Amino acid sequence: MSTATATEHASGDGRARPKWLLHHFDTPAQQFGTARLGMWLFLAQEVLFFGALFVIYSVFRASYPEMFKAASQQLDKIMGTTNTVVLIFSSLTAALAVNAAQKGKRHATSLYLLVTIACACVFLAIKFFEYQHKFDAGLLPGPAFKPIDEHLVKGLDLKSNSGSFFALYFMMTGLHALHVVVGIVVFIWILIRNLRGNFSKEYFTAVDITALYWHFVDLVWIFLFPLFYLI
Amino acid sequence: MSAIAEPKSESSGNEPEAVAHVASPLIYVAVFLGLLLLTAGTVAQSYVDLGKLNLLLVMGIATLKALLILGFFMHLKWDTKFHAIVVVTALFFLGVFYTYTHADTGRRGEFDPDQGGVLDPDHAVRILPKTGEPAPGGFGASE
Amino acid sequence: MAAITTAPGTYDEVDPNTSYLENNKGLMGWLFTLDHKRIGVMYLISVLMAFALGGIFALLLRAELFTKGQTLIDAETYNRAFSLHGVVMIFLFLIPAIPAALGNIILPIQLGAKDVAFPKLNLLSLYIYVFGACFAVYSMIHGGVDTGWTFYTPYSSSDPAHGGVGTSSSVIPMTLSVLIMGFSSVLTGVNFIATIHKMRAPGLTWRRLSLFAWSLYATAIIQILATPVLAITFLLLTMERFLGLGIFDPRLGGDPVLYQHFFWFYSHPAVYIMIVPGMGIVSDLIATFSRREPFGYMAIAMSSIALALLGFLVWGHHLFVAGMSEYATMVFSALTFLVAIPSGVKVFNWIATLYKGSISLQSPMLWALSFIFLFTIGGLTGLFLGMLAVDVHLHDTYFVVAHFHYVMVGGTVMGFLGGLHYWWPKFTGKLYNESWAIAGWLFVFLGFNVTFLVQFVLGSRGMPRRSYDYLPQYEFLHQISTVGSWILGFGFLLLGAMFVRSLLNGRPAPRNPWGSAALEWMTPTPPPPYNFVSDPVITRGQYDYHLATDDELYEGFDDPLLSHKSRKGGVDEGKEDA
Repeated sequence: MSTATATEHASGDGRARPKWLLHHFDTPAQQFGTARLGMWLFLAQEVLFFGALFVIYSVFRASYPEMFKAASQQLDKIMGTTNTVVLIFSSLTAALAVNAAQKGKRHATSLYLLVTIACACVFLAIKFFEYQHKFDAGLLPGPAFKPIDEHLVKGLDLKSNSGSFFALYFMMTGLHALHVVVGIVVFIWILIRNLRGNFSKEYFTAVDITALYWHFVDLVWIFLFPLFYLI
Repeated sequence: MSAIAEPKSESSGNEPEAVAHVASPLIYVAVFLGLLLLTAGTVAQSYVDLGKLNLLLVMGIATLKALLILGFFMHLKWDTKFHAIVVVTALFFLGVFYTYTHADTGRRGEFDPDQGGVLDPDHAVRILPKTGEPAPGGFGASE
Repeated sequence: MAAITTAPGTYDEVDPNTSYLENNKGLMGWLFTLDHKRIGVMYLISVLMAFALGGIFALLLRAELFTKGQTLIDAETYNRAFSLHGVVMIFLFLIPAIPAALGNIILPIQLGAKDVAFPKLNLLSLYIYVFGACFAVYSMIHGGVDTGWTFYTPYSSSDPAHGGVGTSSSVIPMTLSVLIMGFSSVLTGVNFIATIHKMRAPGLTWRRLSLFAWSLYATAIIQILATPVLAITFLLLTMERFLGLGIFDPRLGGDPVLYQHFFWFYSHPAVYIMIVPGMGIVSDLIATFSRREPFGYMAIAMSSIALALLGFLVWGHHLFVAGMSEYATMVFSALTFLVAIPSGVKVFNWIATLYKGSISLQSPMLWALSFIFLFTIGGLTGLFLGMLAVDVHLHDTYFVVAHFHYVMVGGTVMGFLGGLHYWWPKFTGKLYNESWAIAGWLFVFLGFNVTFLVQFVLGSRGMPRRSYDYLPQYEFLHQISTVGSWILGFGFLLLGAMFVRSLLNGRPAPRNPWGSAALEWMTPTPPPPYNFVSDPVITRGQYDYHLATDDELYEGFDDPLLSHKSRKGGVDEGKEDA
């Protein structure tokens, strides 16, 4: 029988295995590369997930361009722009958090993570106010669309079938907000782990892939914002 | 020759591992400023009505912002090419979905003249040959 | 010899000299396992239960169709029966069966890896599947759905309880169930691509990958890219039904054909999720039981990828008569012809592999050969349906039903059973009774053809599908079909009994009962927890019989050309039970 003689499960380079190196990986580089690849594959799935909603948007917009134009004027551009800036800034701090973690700077990492989480919460707060305004104005999805004149923004007249626009608005921004919430929860967990000292220059994978997810959330908003607020 | 041999070296049969590239934080700040600029641009453009160009410009600027984020924040510029292939593939099939769905929804009611029908070029709705009226119904046929 | 090592990051204490079945026994050892083999076995048990349930619905259907008018159940119940048959068979059985069950057990071993890339994610996938299945069971308890497995709007999206006019059946729990199980599928796909890219043993280049692995890679691409669209579709359907959003309902300003686009954008690639791994199994089986490398290895591998990619371009052929624009129908028809090409490449290569191979007609091979024959029929009839002018007449008839049963049962189920027979000794360590296996195959093969061949005739003569009642001229053929279903059911029962018997008192399996040169047979049977006794380095391809040593191939292999006495190790008799 020509199978190899049994050897111990040593790490790839003969050193003692670090305790964060999982049993089925040979080297830390393999583990890190695999985690990154896994997150990218998950993001590919998310592209199609949100993308499908964008296709619905495009079909409805192509059919009812005037209705969309009128309805989008009811969305607050200032709040939307603020949210965009906040999210982009949080992306910056997330990237800086990874950068700090790569250099083993624990305190800087914690700081950047905290700012990212704070920005995400600000985003949700602004979203909450926006939604509240929609409720007050009766700008709701589908058959619940019953606009109340005194709360409306002056502009083009709303068409009677604007319920479709707001259905899409709530679905897409709502799903996006859900992803923001998940991001906040995961970042809090990452922050806790960082404060515990789990991460180091050699091992910061979790920070990296969470930041990847967060950048994607930002990416979706970068397309949501103009399509709903600006045109 | 057998299937399995003594482990000789530690070289893995896998692709070369992506070395975690440590970028300078200044690059990230520069990208952030670029994103802010583009945001300002797109918001400013929204106050001007350019008709059909609006959508194109807005999507173009959004795409630029996306490329900045993908390339720098998400390290695609410095990563193994396969990650970029994953993204491009996903976007490609999204494009397929979009295109062929619109090949349907954007062309409802079009009718092949060879089959004896008549096309109303303004509305792409079939004109009934006997009455000269447009065929009823159709998605988006009326607002 | 290695001492017992405790690997960080797992719950298991690992002894490379035991099998994965013995290591860390007990319920907790299974429910919280990170071992892909155990996860795969748990998936296998789940999908087999789903198959049994779907089969019961099928038998009910066919029994009702035995005579014109009401035979057993009324029309409303009949609608629920065929809808549940479809949902259970497709989402609870066919989609996970080969990738998640057999793939999980075998893929890492074929790659020389210790486990998949993300073992915890693997376990999570299993639990998500079970969680989703609970929603389906809940729906069934509340009467199930009567919309067909396709849930076309506005019948499914318009809820009488919210002022609509559609079905009042338990749609939302069922759509939520499929949505949830979809994520299980996606995560399995993510895991497999990462595994194939990153976890291959040294020396296992892409050109040495098994064809099963190639097919799982292609399947994973589809799982990742197509499933989220289904998730969104059903999320929108749920919202529409619950809130009356008006995206798919024309009364509310929506478009029902848009729903069909969204549904089929997933569901067409989904059928490739179902068939491509089956083809991968068949490739491995044909190679092993012809004892030679597959003809055109790279062509077969690339055709799996091509099938995955082209499969995304053709979903509109399900909508030919739905009200699509004429332009779109022409585009989709043309593309549908394209997608037949990779399948044809595979069939050609399999047959070329058989030619001048040293063929051994053991039970797994019977399934593989059946696959080739039946899938060809199914695939060709799919081309008929892809032709616009013909489809206008055949759409929604029994011709379609016969077509997809030929590819899904004659294709996927036969592939699945072939793989199950082939790898059964590997993951159970037991042999099954070959005579029973052949008998089971015979009943299944015969029963299947009796059931479904006549349905082509029924369909082309105008019998509509999903129809509880029919005109008198169809009765005779329906009766033949129903009798066929009983033969088919009996065949499955026979196989089930055979496998149970094997588990209870089957003979212990030798390491390589089939004489295969593939990597999974080079490790002990059943495998140790980390698949190999020590980290392997691969020096030849999976199908390089000319490079394999006698030891690798012949230990335990019942070669009819060798006399019993001359075989090494003194393994007596063949594979019949004692």
